[in-house]
Formats: sequence, C-alpha cells, structure tokens
Amino acid sequence: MSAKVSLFATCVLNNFYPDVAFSVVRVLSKLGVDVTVRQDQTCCGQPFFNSGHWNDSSKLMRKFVEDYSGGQEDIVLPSGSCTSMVRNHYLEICSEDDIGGIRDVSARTFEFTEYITRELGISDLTPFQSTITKKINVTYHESCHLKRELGVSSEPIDLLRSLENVTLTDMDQSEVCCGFGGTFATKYPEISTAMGEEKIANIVKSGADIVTASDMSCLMHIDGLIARKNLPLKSMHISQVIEQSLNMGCQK
Amino acid sequence: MKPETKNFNMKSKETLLDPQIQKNLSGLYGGFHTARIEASLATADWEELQTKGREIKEHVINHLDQYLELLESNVISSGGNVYFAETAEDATQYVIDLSKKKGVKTVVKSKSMLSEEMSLNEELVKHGIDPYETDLGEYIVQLAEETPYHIIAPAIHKSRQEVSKLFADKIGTKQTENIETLTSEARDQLRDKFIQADMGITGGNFLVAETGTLALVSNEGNGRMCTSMPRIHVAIVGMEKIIPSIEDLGTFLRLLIRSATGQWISSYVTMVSGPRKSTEIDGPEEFHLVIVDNGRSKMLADPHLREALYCLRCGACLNACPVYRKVGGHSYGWVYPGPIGSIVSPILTGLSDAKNLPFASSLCGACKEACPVKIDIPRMLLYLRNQLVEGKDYPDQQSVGFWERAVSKFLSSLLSNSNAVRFLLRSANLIATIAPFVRKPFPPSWAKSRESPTLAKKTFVDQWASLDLDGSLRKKH
Repeated sequence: MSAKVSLFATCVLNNFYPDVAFSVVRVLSKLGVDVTVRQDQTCCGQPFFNSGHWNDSSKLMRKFVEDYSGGQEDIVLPSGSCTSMVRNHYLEICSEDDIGGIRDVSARTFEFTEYITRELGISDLTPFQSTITKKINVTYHESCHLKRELGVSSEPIDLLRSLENVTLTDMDQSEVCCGFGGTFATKYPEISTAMGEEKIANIVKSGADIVTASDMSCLMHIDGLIARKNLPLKSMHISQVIEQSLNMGCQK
Repeated sequence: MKPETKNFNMKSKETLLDPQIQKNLSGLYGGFHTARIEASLATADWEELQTKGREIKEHVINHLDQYLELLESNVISSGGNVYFAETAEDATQYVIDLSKKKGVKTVVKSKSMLSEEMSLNEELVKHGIDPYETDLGEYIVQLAEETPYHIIAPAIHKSRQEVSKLFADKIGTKQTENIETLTSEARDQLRDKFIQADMGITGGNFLVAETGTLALVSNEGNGRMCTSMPRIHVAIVGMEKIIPSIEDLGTFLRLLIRSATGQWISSYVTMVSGPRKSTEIDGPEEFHLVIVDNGRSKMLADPHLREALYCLRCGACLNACPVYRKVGGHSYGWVYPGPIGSIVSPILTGLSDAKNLPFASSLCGACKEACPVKIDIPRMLLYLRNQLVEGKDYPDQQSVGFWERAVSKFLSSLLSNSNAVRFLLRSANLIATIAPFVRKPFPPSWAKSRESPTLAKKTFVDQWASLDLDGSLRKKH
C-alpha cells in the first residue's frame, strides 16, 4: 500500500508560490506517495506565536489540530519553520484539553525533506532519475528552524548530492540565518537586510547559479534581495530542484 | 550603567552604517565563533560536559540560599568578609565606604561586567578614588570613555589603528600598528598602578561554595595581580556564579573557556580563598566578597526565565548571533549585549524601556546552539515577547501597541475561517485587475530594500480544487 500524506502548503506557498507546492506534490507522487490537500487549510499560527500574540496563535493551533486530528495520514509541510511550530511550539500555547490532539497531530507532521529521508527512508534519488537533463549548479542555504529546531541538516543535502545532474557547491556560512525571521524582517528591516546581504554575498561567492533551501520564506527574502539588486542568480525551492533534476517535465 | 535600552533602534541603525565597526565585527565569525566550534568538537565528551554543567547549575540555582550560606561561612572562616548587596547601589556604597575607611586612593580593577551594572568607576571617581582598568580591552574602553562592547572582548569594535590613535591622544605614545608595541605601552602604564594601588577590585567567574573559593579566569595575568598586589582585594560577584564543589570547577572551566575563546585553558586561572594567611608571604591583608543580586531574584522567581541564571558569561551567544555581528554591543544599551543581554537587560532594567530587545532577533537559534549550558534563549525571547503583548507577570506588560494587537486579532480570526480567507483573496484578485499593486502586499518596511513577492492569481488550494487530479498533476502547472 502506498504512503498517504496530506499536504499543508503553508501560507507562503499557498498564496505566493503555488508552483512550488505543485513541485512538492509531483516529487512526492514520483516517490510513490498519494497526496491529498485539505481545502480548508490556512495558517499554522507561527507568525502570531513568534510576535508574542499567543492567544491569537492558539486559535490557529486549534484549527490545525481539529482539521488533522484523528486521521491516519502523515501531514507534510514544505517548511521547517511551520513544522517546528506544530511539533515544538503548539504545546507551549495550549491548554490541557488541547494536549491529546496536539500529540496525535504532531507525531504525524513532517517537513518535506525530513519526510522523504526519515519516513520514506529515501536518501538517494538516483533510482528515480529517468534521463539526465542539463546539469545545474546549486548551493544550499540551511534554514534555521529545520536545522536547529528539527535537527534536519544533512538529510536535504544528501538528497541534493544524490542527484546526478546537480552540482552542489558549498556556501560559506550556509548555516547562518538569512535575516528573514518572520515579522523581524519588517520590524527591523535594516538589520534583516544587512543579514540578507551577507547571505547574498556568500551565495555569489559560492559561484553557484541557483540558491536552494527547504524553506520558501528564506528564499522569499533572499529572492527579494536578488531581484532588487538584479543579480544573475536564481532561487529554487528544494522540491523544484529535485523535480527538475528528475526530469519531470519542468525544463530540459 | 544607565540603561539606554530604548535607543536600540537608533543605535543599531547607526552601527549598520559605520563601515569601520562593520569591518571590525566581521572578524567574530571566523574568530571566536569558529574557535569555539573547533574546541567543542575537539573535546571528546563535550555533550556530556554540557549536560553535567547544566544539571549542576539547575541544582545550585534551585538551592541558591543553601549554597550562599555555605559559601559565606567558608569565606568567613578563611578570614574573608562577605557582604550581600541587594542592589547595584548597595554594592557600590559598600566599596566606597570600605575605601574611605581604609584610606584607598588608587584602585586597580580586573574585568568585571557586574561593575558596569554598578557604574563603579564613575562612582569611585566622584569620591576622589582613581580606578584603573587593567584588562587591556577594558583599559582601551576606559581611555576612550566608552563602555564594553562585548562580554569577554570589550574593545572588539576597535581596530589597531584606532587603538593606536587613542593611545597617542590619551597617553602620548607614538602611533604604531604593532599590537605588541601597543600592548607593552599599556603594560608600562599599568605597572605603576599595580604598585601604587591600595585596592584591587575583581569580578569572579565562579564561587566555590564548599571551599569558599573565588575562581578567576584571565589571559593577561592582570586578575592575579589585582588579587595579590594591593593590600585589599574586593571581589564583586553576581549571586548566580556559585557552584557547589571544587570538582565542579573542572567542568565549568572547560565549558567557559572553550566557549569563550576556544582556548583549551586560559593563560591564568586564579583561585582565591581568603586573605593572606599568617604563614604566607603574598596576598592581600583583607579580602571582601560582595555578592550582588541587583534584580537577579526576579529571574529566580520566574520559572520561565530562571535558566538565564545559568549563564557563564562566556560570550559565545554573542559571537554566534548574526544580529549581534551586525548591530554590535552598544546598540543593546546596557551592560550585557547580544542574545543573553536581550533577556537579562529587560529583566534587570525594566521590560518596557527594553521592549525592542526581545523582538530584535530572527529567532535563528544560533545562540542556543552555542551556549555551553544549553540555555534556551529563543524560548525566553518568545516568552518576553508574549509578556509584552499579553502578559500579566511584569509591571510594564503589554507594551506592544494597540494597533498591532488589533491587526493580529483580526488576522488570526480571519485565518481561522478558510471561507473568509478564500473570499478575501478572490476579492483581492479582482481588485488587482485594476490595481495591480494589490498583488504586492508587503509593507514599505519590506519593500524599501527588497522586492515584494507576488500574490498568486489563484492560490494553491484553489488551483488544486479545480484540477483533474490524474491528468494534470505531473505536468508543470
């Protein structure tokens, strides 16, 4: 029986990057996973939690937990940050009554690359590559919450390394925050931008043509700077890199 | 030190625009930060050490009264004096009264962040006593009439050229870029002060309760000279610096030093147990230990913040912090900068004035990762943010503005209802056909330096709903 997952696209993908969400779906399908999508999904509540509005956040925590509790399927989020909200922070803003539901849901909630590597047990994508497409040169930015709150660090890198037509180029300080930080980016735009510019400098220094990451919110920040500076760089979510590399109909 | 935490926004912007300071700060990642990582990797049992250190701290802080009593009786029985100061002013007054009573004219000081809490140098000067900082970095900062920029490297913001110019202006030395020459100039200046001084004032890295011992870590030997040359030694130490036994000191010296500078062990570890004994030829005639609270009890009383008292003041979280590496130490506006400062300063000096500090973090977690005793700094920052928004535990709670709270309430209610969200987004898309800017919804604070992402014409969920699932999934959408 094939694995079943429900995809929670996150606000960023749902509203700004639906194509990335489709890449996630196509990669999971290629790996033999049945993907469903709840029509009533909105936000996990993390922006409210991180800004101190815990009562407001808990409304969305309850919605998420009610929507997904009692199910059998795993819940996949293409974001380390939102996954960590569900798994690590829901318990901090809940009341006693919520605990059972949170435990049920968070035990089945996984970040996209974490799901592929740890739940499906796939670290090597070679068997899924049909034809070799054009080689691309990418560098990987480690998103903070994926690495430090979920402990997923080498897994996405292993996936990228296994792709024959992807050259993964090291980036200096790849584990340093890009400066997004949710509402931090608008509360402290100058600091956030300065951090982003340092990230951009390290991306440029790597010599790669494409910067990839597992969290689209980091890439939204990085891409905002790339676009403003008109740099000859491209950002792609890791699912898009994988999709393109597996020659699933994106580009030849 | 007078808190200026409310100036964070202004100060941080100034620092970002100062190319020299940015250049000086840029060395932290490859310097202290990398050295710490290498030292911890080279320590075979680093994780166990961290766990052990944390457990000891947890235990001591939970039994603080007992350990303080034990420490006090041991210091007294080895001939020292102990004074418990509730506030910084209290501690300062003790030092000043003692100085007056003993006819102290000149004081040599080794590095102490707590003395910055007390504005000790300023107060001593007011009472006609000359204090001399003897740690090289502190000496530079004192000459420049500034405050320390970093917990362990107070003059990290100054280049050698700047130091050279400062020395030339203040002590009349020749300008040079040779660090050794500069160091030896400072040494020459300070040697006389050590000889003249009536009193040595030090901080303390650890207080060992079972032996009544003060442990001091330094790389310049100035700490040892301050504790042994003048006739009176006063140690001012925060009450959280206590550890149970001399055996624990081994654990903490490893954790502290390797996290601070990446050294295996510092050049000097000085242990002081009371004044000179009748059988000894060196050491001060008097030893005074001033144990300071100055608001630390507030952290002790709040279980959400208690672990802030585990801090060893190694500075590793500052070096690891990408925000600190941009805004530097002075932006934080009080004694302790960086991630740990963003917790300690609001509690010790007032949450309302310091309300910017808990928000001035991307919550990347590099601080928690770097901390030798695994203090969960991001969790406490989140807690303080929550206190500022909807808290009840602090007198100056709910400092976050009405509008932000109203917007948050509205948005979270909206997002709880997916039909309402869908309706709103579809309306936005209709409006966008005549007003395209609607598709770029990010505020000017984002868009000033970064392109705003574009709102999709149709959300993923809507696109999914209208899909022929089998047919179109595998094609590029």
